[in-house]
Amino acid sequence: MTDSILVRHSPLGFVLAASPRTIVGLSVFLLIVFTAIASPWLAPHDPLEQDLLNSFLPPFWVSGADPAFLLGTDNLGRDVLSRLIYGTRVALTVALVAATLTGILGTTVGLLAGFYGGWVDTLVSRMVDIWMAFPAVLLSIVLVAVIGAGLHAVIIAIIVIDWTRFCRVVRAETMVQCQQDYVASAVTIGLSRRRRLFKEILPNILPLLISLLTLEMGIAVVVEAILSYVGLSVASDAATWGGLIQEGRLYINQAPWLMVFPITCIVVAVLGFNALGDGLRSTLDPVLRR
Amino acid sequence: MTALLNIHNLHLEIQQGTTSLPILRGVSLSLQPGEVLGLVGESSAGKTMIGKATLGILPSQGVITDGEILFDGADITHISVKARRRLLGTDMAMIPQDPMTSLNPVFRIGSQIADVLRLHLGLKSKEADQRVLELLDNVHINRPERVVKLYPHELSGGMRQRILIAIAFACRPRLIIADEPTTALDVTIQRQVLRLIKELQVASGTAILFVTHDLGVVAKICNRVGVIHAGRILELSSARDLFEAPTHPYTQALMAATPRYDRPNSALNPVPEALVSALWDDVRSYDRGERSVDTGNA
Ligand SMILES: Nc1ncnc2c1ncn2[C@@H]1O[C@H](COP(=O)(O)OP(=O)(O)OP(=O)(O)O)[C@@H](O)[C@H]1O
Ligand SMILES: [Mg+2]
Repeated sequence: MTDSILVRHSPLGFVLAASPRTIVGLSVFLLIVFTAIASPWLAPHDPLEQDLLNSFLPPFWVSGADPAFLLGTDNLGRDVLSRLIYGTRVALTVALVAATLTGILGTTVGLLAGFYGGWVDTLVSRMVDIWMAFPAVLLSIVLVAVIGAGLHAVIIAIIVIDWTRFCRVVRAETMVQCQQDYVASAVTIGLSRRRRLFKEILPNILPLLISLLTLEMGIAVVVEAILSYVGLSVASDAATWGGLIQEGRLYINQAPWLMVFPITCIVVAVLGFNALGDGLRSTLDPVLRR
Repeated sequence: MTALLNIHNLHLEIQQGTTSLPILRGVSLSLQPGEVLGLVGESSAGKTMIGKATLGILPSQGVITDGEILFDGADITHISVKARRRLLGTDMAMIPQDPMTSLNPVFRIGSQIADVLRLHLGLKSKEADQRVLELLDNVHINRPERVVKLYPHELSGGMRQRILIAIAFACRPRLIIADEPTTALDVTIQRQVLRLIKELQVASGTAILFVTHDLGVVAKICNRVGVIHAGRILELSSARDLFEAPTHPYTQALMAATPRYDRPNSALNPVPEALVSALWDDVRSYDRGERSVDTGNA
């Protein structure tokens, strides 16, 4: 049964049926993807290139700005715009990889718990309870400190902490689906358990998963920024949004734009991902629940 | 001729914690190949449980404590999940009660039927698609090539029930359990769907265990009828005998209670209270007897 309802929407039909919110979210998402891929062509300067003679240049609308550095420069004279552009690469990588892996782990565990119930469910539920009792930010900092700084550590930390988010929702939804008559019918036509779980129930929770996934991407961007801020993400001179905030913090009085621009990027990206998630849910759901 | 389905002295309890509630109290019945056996009785008499026990899809609290179920001479009361799966869909199938929710909402009609054919008959995609169109034609669905592309929510209840009937008959099972397949439909559609089931049954020679609480339905399509109350079969006879000369007082009362189109102004005759309490006294003394037999054995 590959012929799912999701496949039915042609790209054009999907856009026509989508809410404004989905379209805004999708635009932000596509913009980020495009910027990340095209960074070398879009960025006017090398993000690491220092020009100490041109440090602390203001953005273009302030007098004294250099049009070659549209959004100004930092303390080492590096181009802020170029660093922001290259920062999308890290943000997008973390968002995609961490959200996908978190989704796969949480969904698998949630599906099994919801479908098999009994001791499997008890075990999983207790684990989720214990997980939720830890403060997430603290746990992530400790984790990265243990694993060692770097992008892979950030991703692992997000997976380890956030799988419960998927797990709880998927478990509850799987339980709801198991009560549906179509699952009982699937038994009477002789489908095996595995087939029922993956070919009958999973497709029914796919729309939910898609919206969870986009929400998780927003969360991943924020977590990466937090860990960059405390210096536990990629190497400190590399361009990441969180790293830019951290560097800018020292010169907040002198050059506030150094913090304002990366914060704006993060806010727009997270709002965009959330809008996409919410929008997708309302676009996909009425079709299902009708 | 050996019976296709033979249920012998079936006892079933709902066990929750330390309490156990008897549901079936020694049900015995048999179904010949190609026969339609009706099961009638009031709500919670245990009709659905008999069907579920036969298919092996009892809820986890439902436990068979005694008796056996033979299918084609083989004991299937406690067979493994795997062995059960080999029966379901191929030798036994089910027509569910609620057509609105019994199809998977996210898959097209065509692929849901084709899936069964590919799984059980090993058909290739092309052959399966061709066969799906024939099956839809058999259940009198107009323009099947259009319907296969639709999703369940795009069809009416009657159409969906036809699809589910097509799925039940798809692999030519020898036994179909139909648990009130028409109760969720409105009256005119009910009649069409009944006629359809009967037509397919005659054509394919499939035996049907037909659960209902509608005596009118029983008269239309059943060869024999069992009247069940509180998990006991009170009377089991041919449909003609049952209607012309019901022997058990409960059956007689059920007949009298059925509203008649030909006498629209006659008063409703509920089953007399004295009869109901007498029946329950009987059930209670049966339960006591069971228990005393148990302790006798211990
Ligand atoms: N999952 C369950 N857990 C506990 N008790 C159950 C369960 N399913 C059914 N029962 C009980 O089993 C008894 C028989 O139920 P069953 O569904 O077989 O009745 P029925 O004759 O099919 O009635 P109806 O005409 O309403 O469908 C009822 O008393 C019911 O309360
Ligand atoms: Mg029932």
